[in-house]
Amino acid sequence: MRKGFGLTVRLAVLTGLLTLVILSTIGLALMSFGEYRQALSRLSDESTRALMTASRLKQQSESMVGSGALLLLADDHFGRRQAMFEISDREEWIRELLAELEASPATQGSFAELEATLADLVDSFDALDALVQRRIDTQALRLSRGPHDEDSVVRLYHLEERIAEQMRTNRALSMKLGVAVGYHVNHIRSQLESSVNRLNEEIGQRERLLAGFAGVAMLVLLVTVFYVSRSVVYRVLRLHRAISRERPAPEELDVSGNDEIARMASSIQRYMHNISDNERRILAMNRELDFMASHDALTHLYNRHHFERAINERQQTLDSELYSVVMVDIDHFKRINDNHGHDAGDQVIRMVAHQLSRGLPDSALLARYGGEEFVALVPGCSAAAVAPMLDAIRHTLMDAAVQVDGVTLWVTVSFGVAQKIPDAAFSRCLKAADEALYEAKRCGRNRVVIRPLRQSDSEEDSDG
Amino acid sequence: MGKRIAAMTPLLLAGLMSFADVTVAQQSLRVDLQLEPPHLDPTRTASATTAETVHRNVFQGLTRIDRHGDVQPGLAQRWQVSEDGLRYRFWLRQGVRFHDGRRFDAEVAAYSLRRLLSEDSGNPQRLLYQAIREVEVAGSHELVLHLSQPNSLLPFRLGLSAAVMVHPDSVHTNVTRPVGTGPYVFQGWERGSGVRLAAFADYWGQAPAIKHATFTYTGNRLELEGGLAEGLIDLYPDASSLTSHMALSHRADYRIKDGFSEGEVLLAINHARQPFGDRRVRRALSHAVDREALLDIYPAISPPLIGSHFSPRHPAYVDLADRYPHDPGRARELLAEAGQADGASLTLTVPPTQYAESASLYIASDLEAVGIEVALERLDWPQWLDQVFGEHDYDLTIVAHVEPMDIDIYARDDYYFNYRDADFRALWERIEAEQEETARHALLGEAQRHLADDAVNVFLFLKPQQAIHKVGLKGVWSDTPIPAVVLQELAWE
Repeated sequence: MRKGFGLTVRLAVLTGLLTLVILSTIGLALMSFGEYRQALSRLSDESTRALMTASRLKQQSESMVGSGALLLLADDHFGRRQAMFEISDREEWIRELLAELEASPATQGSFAELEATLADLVDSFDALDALVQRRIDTQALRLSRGPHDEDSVVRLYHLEERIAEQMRTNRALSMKLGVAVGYHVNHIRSQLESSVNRLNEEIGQRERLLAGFAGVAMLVLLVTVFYVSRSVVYRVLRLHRAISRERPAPEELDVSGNDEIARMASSIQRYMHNISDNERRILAMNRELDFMASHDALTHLYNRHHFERAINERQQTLDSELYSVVMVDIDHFKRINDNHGHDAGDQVIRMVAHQLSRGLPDSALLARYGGEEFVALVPGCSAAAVAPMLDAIRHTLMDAAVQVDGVTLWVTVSFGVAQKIPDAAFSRCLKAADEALYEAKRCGRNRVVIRPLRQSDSEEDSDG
Repeated sequence: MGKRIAAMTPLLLAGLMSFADVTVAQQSLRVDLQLEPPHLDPTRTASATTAETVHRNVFQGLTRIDRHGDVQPGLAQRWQVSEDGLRYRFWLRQGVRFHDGRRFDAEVAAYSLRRLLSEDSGNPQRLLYQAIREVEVAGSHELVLHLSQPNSLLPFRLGLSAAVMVHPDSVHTNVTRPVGTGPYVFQGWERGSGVRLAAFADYWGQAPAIKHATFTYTGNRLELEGGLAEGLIDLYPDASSLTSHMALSHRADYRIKDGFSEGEVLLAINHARQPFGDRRVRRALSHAVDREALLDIYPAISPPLIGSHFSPRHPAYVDLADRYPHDPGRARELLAEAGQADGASLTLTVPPTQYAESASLYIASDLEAVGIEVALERLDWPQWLDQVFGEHDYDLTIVAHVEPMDIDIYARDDYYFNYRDADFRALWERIEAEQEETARHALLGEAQRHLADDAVNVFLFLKPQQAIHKVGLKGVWSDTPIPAVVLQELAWE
C-alpha cells in the first residue's frame, strides 16, 4: 500500500512539521508568558511585601520615641501603665515585623544587629519605667511631707537627671534601629532593581528565541511551498503540456517516480498508448478497405473500377503522351471452369495475372477487366514496342502448367493491342484494342494482334 | 472570514480576562477577630472567637439564631413539642452533605447530640443540654429528643455553637480541619495569614455572594489599628474601644454600626483564692471600682452599666446597677473589717482584648486608691484560656461573657470563678424546670439579686457592639445575639 502514496505521505509530513514548528513557537510563547507572569507576581508579592514591612518597621521604631515621651509625661501610675502598655505593644509588633522581614526571601544578611538593638531598647525602656515609677512615688511622698522636704527634692533632682540621660539613650537606640532597618530597605530596593533587570534580559533572550523559531517556521514553510511547487504543480503542468499537443506521444510522458502523480501519468500514458494503437488499427483497416475497394480480391491486381478512375485521373497525360492499351483474354476459360471446377479456374486466373504483371513494365497500369479479361495501359510505348513483351508472356504461359487435383492444365491467352489514336479519346483506343482481341480470337486464339492505325480512325473521330 | 475571527479571538480573551479579574476581587472578604482561636472545633472550646470563625460558616446546628435573636429552622426544617414538653420531634432537611461528601441524616444528628451530652466529650457547654435524657432516631430524617424535664430554652440552645452537627468520620480532626454542612469549606489555617474559607459548591442552600473569606487574628492593638488605617481589613466586629475610633469614624471608606451584644463585662474574681472567699472583700472591690469613669474607655458611646450577670435587653432584667455605688471610703471600711487593712496585693490578669486592656488601667488605679497593690499581668488569648479558664490560676481578671442567657454558669461548680453555692444551684434547677414564663422571669430576677448580693463578681457594663466595615459591604449584623460573623448574609454592593 505504501507504493504510490508517497506524495500524500511526504506532504503530510511536511505539513505536520510546519504545524509542529508553529505550535512549538506558540507553546514557547505561552510558556514564556506564564513564566514571566509568575516571576513578576512573585517579585511584586515578595518585594513589595518586604518593602511594606520594612517601612512599617522603620515607622514603628521611630514612634518608640513618642511612646517614650508619653512615659516621661506620666504623673501617676495610670498614665505610666498606659504608656508602658503602648510601649510593650509596639515592641511586640516590631518583633513580629522583624521576624517577617527576616523570613522574607527578598531580604538577605544578618538581622542579629537589629535584634540586639531592639533588646537594648526594651531594656532601656524598662529602666526608664523603673525611674518614672520612682519619680511618681517620690512626688507622692513630697506631696505628703510638704513641698520643701529636702530629702525628696534632692532625690527628685537626681531622678530627673537620670531620666534625661535614659531618654537620650532611648533616642539614640531608636535612631540606630531606624538606620539598621534603612540598610535592609536599601538592599531590598536594589535587589528589586536587579531582579527587574534580569527579567528584562531574560525576556529579551526569549524574544530572540521566539524570533528564531518564527524564522525556522518560515523556512519550513518555504521548503514546503517549494516542494509542493516542484513535485506537484510543476509535474502536473508538464503532464498537461504533454497531453495538450496536437499529436501527444506517450513516450514523451514522464512516468518516473513512485507517487500519485506518477501513477496518474502512467494511466494517462496507458490511455494514450491505447488511443494510438486504436488509431493504427483504424488506419490499417482503412488501408485494407482502400485496397479492397480498388483491387481485385483474387489476383490483387487493380480492379476495373480503379482502372477507369485512374484513366480519368490521367486524362492530361494520356492526351499529351504516347501510350498503348492491351486487352487480354484467357482462351477457353469457360471450358476450364466447367471441366475442372471453379478452384482450378481461380488458380488459372491467378497464374495469368502473375505472369502479366511480371511481363509488363512497372509503369504499366494493369487491371482485371472482367471474369477472364485483363486490361493494361502501357504509357510511353508504341504498340510495336509492347507486342514483343506480350509475345514473351504468351510463350511463358504456353510453357507454364497448372497443377490441379493431379491434373495438369495448359493455358493459352489472346492479346489485343492498340496504340493511342491521335486526337482521340482513350475509349477509342480501348475499343480498338478490344477489336484487336476479337480478331485474335477469330484467328485461332493464342496470339497477339495489333490493330493498325487507319485513316478512318481520325475520320471517325471528327465525325463522332 | 476565518482570519477575522482568528484576529478577534485574542481581543475577546483579553476582554474576558479583565472582566474576570474585576469580579474576583468583589467576592472575597477579610475579617479580623482580635483573639487567636485555640483551635477550630466549637464543641470543644468556650472561646467565642472559634465560634465567630466557624459557626454558621463551616458548621450548622439543628436550629439557628437570626440577627434579632429569634430561633429559626436550621438543619431541622421544623419541630414539634409534645403537650407535656418532654418530647421534641425534629424533621431534618434532606439532601444535605458535609464538605467531604458524606450525608447528613438523623443518625449523624443523633451522633452529634449524644457526643454533646457525653461527659468525656470535652464540650464546655454540655450542662446546658443535660435536660436531654435520650436521643432517638425515628426515621432517616426524623429525630426525637426525650427530656427528663421540660426545657423551653432547648430550641434556642440548639442554635448555639456548642450544638453544631458533626460527622463521626471527620469529627476527630475538626480541631485543625473543620468539616461541616455550612456554606463555606475550610481551606487552610496558616499562623500569620489566618483561616481561609471558600464557598462550598454543593451547599444545600443558596450560594453565598462572598466566595472567599479570610479570618485573621491580630492580637497587637497597634498592628490592628494600623491594618484598619491602611484599609487592609474589610470587617472588624467590635471597634468600640479602639483608640483610633474617632479617626476611623470620620473616614469615608469605613462605616461603624451601632448595636448591642449579649456580653456582660466583668471583673471576675477567683473565689478559691484568699481573701476573695470573704464576701466583704468582694463587696469592697465592687465599691472601689468607679464604673462610670470606666466608661471613658469608649470614646463615642455609653453602654449600660450592669449590676448582675444579665442583659438589660432581656425582659426578666432587674436593674441592680446601683447595688454597690462607687465609694472608696466604704471599700476601705469593708477591707478593714475583713482584716485586709494592711493592704492586700493581687495580680490583675489582662487578656489581649481592647476593652480589657483599657479597663485594667482604670481598675488598677481604683484598687490602688483603696490601698490594694496591683500587678498587671498581660497574657495572649491561648495563654488566658489555658491559665485562667482552664487551670483557674488567677486572682482577678477582666472578661466579657458573650453567650446569651448564660447566668447558669454560676450554678456550675467547676467554672473558673470557683463559686460554689448550693442555694444558687437549687434556684437554677427551679428556673430550668419552670415552664410558665412570668414565674420563670420572677425566678430569674431572684437569681440576679442573689448574685448581686453575694458580689460574686464585680459586674461592670454591657459590652457595646460596634462593627466597623468597609463601605459597600452589606448584611453586617448590628446586634450580636450570639457571637457570630455570618458570612453568607454578607455581600459587596
